[in-house]
Amino acid sequence: MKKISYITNSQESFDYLADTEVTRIPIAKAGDSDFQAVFEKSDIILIDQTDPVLAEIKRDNQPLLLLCDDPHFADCGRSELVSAGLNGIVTKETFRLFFNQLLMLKAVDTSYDWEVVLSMVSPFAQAACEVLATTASTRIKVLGFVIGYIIPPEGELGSSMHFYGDIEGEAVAIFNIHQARKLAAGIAICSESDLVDEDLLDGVSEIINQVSGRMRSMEWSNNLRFNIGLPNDFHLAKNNQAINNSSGWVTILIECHSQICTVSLKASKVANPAVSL
Amino acid sequence: MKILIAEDSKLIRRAISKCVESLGFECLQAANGAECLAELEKELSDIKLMILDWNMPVLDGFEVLERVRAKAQYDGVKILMATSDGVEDDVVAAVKAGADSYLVKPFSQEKLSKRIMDMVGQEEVSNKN
Repeated sequence: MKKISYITNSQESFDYLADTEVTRIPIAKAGDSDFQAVFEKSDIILIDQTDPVLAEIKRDNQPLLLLCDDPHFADCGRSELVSAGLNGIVTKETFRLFFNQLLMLKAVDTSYDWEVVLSMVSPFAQAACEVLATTASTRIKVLGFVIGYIIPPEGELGSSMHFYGDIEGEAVAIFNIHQARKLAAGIAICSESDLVDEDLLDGVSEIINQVSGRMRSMEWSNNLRFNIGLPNDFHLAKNNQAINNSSGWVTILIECHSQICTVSLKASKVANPAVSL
Repeated sequence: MKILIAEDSKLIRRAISKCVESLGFECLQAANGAECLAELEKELSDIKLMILDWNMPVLDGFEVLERVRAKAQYDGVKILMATSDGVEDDVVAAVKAGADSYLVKPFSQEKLSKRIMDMVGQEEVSNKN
């Protein structure tokens, strides 16, 4: 039985989650000592607003998520929320779909320097949405972000891109077959029936290439410069990319062709950049 | 008249070649910069425009640009950089190195068509007349 603490004034039902026990805590009572024990025994803590709740919550290592109906890419990577211990912002539907992976998140590693990657998350989310919107000709919507590396439930095809220069980093995009097929057809301006399997990987690679390239030309707060390498495509099953527990990853969740894809990002400042840009 | 595309993504090559052929040009394709230079040397007399991706394996588009512009025999070939980022420094560098134009992906077929016609369209029309 998984235990969820939900700090809220709503009566939201979690009937769609099997084998869970949900304890609702009114927002005004989040700081009460009576509920600290509840938090400590929870597997995950949810909130639906940050003020004044975040400061009140004492917990061990459980993930803490903000449920939001309509996140915007500007919400992604908000450093003040991460500094206060928030693991991410997700919609309720995203929480349902990614429940098992979200349970595996730990409290944010405060020993890691999140400054660079968090400053990149919002423009990266914007770049991803712009590229996907142009390519996919369908509704593209940010569904939130998570501190950690998670993958779509039916994710099969991915591509990664390395960054180098003032920062060292990596971006990974993961799609399911349905999305990859539609994106590839959009890029090649052809019918899906004209595509072969390798075209789907080509398409996923081109997406991460264009997103990373667009990110380079966007203004973001640190003004750090970087170059991009060549994309590296992969099948999740063959390359065991499903698990990546190393610190420093942020995953952006995006609705594309009515399903969810992920773009994960990791970046840190290079002390003495060797590459002249 | 021929247009040479250098682009490592087969899907992008397919999209660009569709546009090129719809405008009445013959399309040659290369998957990297080295193949592009080999194709250029082979078909020089007919190639009027090269559409170069920047980020390619073996030899990237900027290196191709520099090598092409270093040789007077290629002065008649126009070069369009079609690439995934529009970083101002890169655009300036490409123009300084001799690129005639620059497009940032993703671009529409309409935008690409117009750019191609702006760059070589008049010459094609004159040739046909």
